[in-house]
Amino acid sequence: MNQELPNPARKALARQRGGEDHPSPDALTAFVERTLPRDERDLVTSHLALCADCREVVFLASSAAEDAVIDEEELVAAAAAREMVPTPVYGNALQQPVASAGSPRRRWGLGMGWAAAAVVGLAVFGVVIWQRVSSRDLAHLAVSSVASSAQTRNLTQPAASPMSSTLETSGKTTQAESAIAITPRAAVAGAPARKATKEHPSAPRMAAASADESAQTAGSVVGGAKVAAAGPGTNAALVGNQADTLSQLRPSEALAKPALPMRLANAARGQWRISADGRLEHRVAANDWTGVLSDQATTFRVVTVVGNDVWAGGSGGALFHSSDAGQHWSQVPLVTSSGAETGNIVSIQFSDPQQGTVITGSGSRWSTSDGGVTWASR
Amino acid sequence: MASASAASPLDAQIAAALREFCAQRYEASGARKFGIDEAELAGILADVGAQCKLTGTAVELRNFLASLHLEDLVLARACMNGNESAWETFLLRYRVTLYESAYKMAREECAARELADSLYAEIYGVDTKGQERTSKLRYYQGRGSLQGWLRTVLAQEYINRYRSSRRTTSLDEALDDGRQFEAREADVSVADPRVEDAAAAELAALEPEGRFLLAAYYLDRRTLAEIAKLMGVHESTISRKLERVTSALRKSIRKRVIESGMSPRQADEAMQDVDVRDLRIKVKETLRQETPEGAFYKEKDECG
Repeated sequence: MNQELPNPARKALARQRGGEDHPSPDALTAFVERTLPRDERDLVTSHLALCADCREVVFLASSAAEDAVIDEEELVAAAAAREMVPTPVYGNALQQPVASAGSPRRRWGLGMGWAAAAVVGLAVFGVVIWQRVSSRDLAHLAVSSVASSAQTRNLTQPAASPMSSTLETSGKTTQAESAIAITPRAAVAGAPARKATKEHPSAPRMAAASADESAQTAGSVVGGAKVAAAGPGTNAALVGNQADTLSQLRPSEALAKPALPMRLANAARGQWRISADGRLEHRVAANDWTGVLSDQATTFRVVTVVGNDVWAGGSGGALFHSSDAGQHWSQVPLVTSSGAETGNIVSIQFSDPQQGTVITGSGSRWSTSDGGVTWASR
Repeated sequence: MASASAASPLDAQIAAALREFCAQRYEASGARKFGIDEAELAGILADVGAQCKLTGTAVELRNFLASLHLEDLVLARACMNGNESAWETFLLRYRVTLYESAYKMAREECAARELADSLYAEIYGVDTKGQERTSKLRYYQGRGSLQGWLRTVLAQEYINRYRSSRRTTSLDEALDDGRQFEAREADVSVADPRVEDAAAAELAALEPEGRFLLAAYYLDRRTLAEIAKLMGVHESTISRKLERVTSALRKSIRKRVIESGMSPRQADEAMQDVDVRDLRIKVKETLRQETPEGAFYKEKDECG
């Protein structure tokens, strides 16, 4: 801005006063959300030009809405990944052109195009190889593959069991036969459970290497995305909310972030949710949701995914963590000298794998800056 | 709950449109799970229409109803009526948001919690006199999202509290807290009332958005980023608009002042010399001394 307002105009501006009739909080909200009809928007804008109080309110409300926008984007990412249709449905008041040349959505489309071309290429290559290899060779390959797979399991399962020592869960096994184990941090002397599980990141992965999972993990993703945050009684509403959220989102907000394709991929990879009765569930196939930590008495309320780290929280201050995309779990105590956290965990937010915040229903706020090894109450 | 006929002055045609809308959207509104039947939903919508002083045709009414956040409205009214399930849903969805928004506004844990708790009490409708519960949610009309409405109400509450606490804080305490005070703007009145009149008239003739931008940027000292976020456009768009509005305003005031009898030079001075902030001192140009060409040669010639 190079222009300066002439001083007489500045003084005239300052002398203006709004009337007694302030717009209702509803109208101000709709103004902030840009859902007012044109004529009414002009009326509110006229008032805002005169009324410093209302201007302060709308700016304050607008600045406080930042995180909500991020959450909505995450929901869009999760919903779009689930449906593989990254085109939200917009409300009538928000209809705007969605894609333009060079827009993130276009880039996403181009990326999908390249991915599809790569898949076709691989398929052609596979057919050619398959035709060249004799049926006898194939049989030999299959036998050796099964043998190596069995050998791998023999090698990996003992390695996993000491880590998952005390609280082996009987959670329903996935198609990949991955064992889900819980290690209370207090039970691991010397080293935190997170560290212990990270020492063998490949072991459970090898055991769980199924076509399904490899399809999900195809295309490595760095970074994280919140997948779901809900609680008992609202899971059905969660999916509905996603649709609603989509309808409320402005296209530019939903698709303008360049990181969206990355988030979509990550959301596709980690499919987690909280069921209507407060159970933590993991999607292992198209419509196959498997209960996780189902032997715990915790009523889960929120689950968050940051890269390979999965955090789930619920009633009684129960916080669980998996550093290997849900293969192994450890319970994380939130304790200070004054006692353990007993409130229901209602929010888990990680800006990166190291920095995170947990909020309970009673308003307590716990934060970590070392990936959840230590937590401090604020 | 007020019935449609009792709470609303809408005529029969509009009431029919309202019933039709309710029949279409009843299931999607989630009213059933909170024990609200179609007639009650119609009553809620009629109440909202009455609060908004809605008049017009049935088509306009339908457009208005379609723009409402119906699910949020139903939830708010169910909470207002004391429905436990609705409260559970409300808390689950908005309690954390409420605290986080309060924290962003107050930027201090205790104050934020106090702010959010006070609003929560008002939303719950706790009456200090032990009389009938009157929840603040009754004022929610569904024009914006419930989450956004909560933030707006929270912002209003915060501003009210901030003002009241500022009134009770002594100057010494404020200085101890490290607060700095801006010098009050000098109340230099414009010498010629013609300039004042011209500025006021041209300002009034501006589009509402232009006036809002000027007030937000020049009076409130909001940043381009803040304004852009509120308006939902890019910063550069706001910058261009401000440039355009300011430039046009300057020209139009000058023109009007000249039309009122001032000379162009007087008009320029009246626009500039009232406040030192408007003075653009061009140091380089001011310090430059005009030396006639050939002066040194002349001196040289004289010496020679």
